[in-house]
Amino acid sequence: MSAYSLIILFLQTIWISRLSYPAMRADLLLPLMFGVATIWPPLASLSWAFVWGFAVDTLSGKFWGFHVGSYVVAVCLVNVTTERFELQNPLYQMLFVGLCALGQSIALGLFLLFQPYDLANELTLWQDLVIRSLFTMLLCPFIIYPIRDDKRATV
Amino acid sequence: MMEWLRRLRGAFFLLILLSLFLYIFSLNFRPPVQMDIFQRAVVESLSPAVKFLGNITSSIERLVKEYVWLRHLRHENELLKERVNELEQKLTDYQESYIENLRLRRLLDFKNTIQSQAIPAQVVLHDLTGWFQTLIVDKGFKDGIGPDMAVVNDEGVVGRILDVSDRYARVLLITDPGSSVDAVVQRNRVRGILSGKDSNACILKYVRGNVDVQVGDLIITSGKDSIFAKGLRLGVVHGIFKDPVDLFQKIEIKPLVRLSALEEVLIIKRETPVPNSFAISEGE
Repeated sequence: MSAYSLIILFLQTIWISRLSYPAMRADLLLPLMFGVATIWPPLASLSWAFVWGFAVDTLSGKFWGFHVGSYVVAVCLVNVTTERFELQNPLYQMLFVGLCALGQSIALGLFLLFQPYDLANELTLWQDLVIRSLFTMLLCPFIIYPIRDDKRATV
Repeated sequence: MMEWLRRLRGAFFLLILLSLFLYIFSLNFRPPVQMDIFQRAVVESLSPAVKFLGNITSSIERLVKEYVWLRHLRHENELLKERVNELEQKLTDYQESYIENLRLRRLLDFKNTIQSQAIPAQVVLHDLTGWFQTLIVDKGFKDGIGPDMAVVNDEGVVGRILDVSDRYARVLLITDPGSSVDAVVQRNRVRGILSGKDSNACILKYVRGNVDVQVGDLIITSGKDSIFAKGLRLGVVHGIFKDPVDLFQKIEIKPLVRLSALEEVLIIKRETPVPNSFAISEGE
């Protein structure tokens, strides 16, 4: 799991963050944390989300607590809904990751709103953030698929 | 009893997580300093691997571009671009001298604007999310780097040092809204504050609406903010928006440095107090 998390982190650092179109800059670690939460116990997955969230916040350098908060919320969401929904179904994964990504984008948008944007840029910003959420949602099954464990969560 | 202890353990763990989260969130409100032990652990452990992978990726890209696509033309183009940048900087320097002489300013001693030592550094990674304007370079405290040192390259100003670790440092780019650079219009010395707008543009703030600024004007550092030396190139006026009811005009600046394609930078050293922990460890 550490190796896979590192690979996802490197993909995020070297390629995703360098994409010229802002809407394509998805957070690949968000679906990863969701997937980890479906196969690990709650405390372990919370700790994992916390550590990786802090690592991403440190490498980013701004809006401290953003990734920690969003990954922890994703893990909590899994633990709350795991008995009601079949979280191994890619459609449910996409739905919940999409919701988390949308919440993450809203938080990011509110933070960026405190910066000087004119109205045209503000509309573009929200548009980009919504597309970013959709993009994260679409990538989710491909990121979660390699995570395999015997202790999968079942209905 | 065991059940009660188990619940208590869960609540205790949640309390610890909440405390840690509040500490992390408090980092948003602290001034730039040396990174704490947790941040240093993350940066010092992950940055070498990212740098190594980045070098491999860049090498492969260069290999493809150089040997498959327009091999000789690309190399010649790069040489010519470097030469043009050198000549443009010389022209800017000469224009600065000419303008000062025309205004009949008396200079007691005329010095080169960059007197201090400049340390080359390689960009390790840009902001992980792609939404903030920061990057990490491979020089830190052990190389004599400290917060608020200017970061430049041959095209112009890149930004300033924000946080510093042992061997790495975070740079705040001029395109970040949190960045502020004391700037002047080279042509008529109109002064303003250059702040970031988005990844490709900056804005020059606090320029009164009745002041003459034109598209194409070159913006340079004034040297009055004690971070950047005087005369360093920042950008070019790209757009001007005047609102009759607003006191100030909105001036959009296009940075001269291609910040998204940065690979090497220069950090201009200046006297900065070394933390006690490093002074002691160097002496041991």
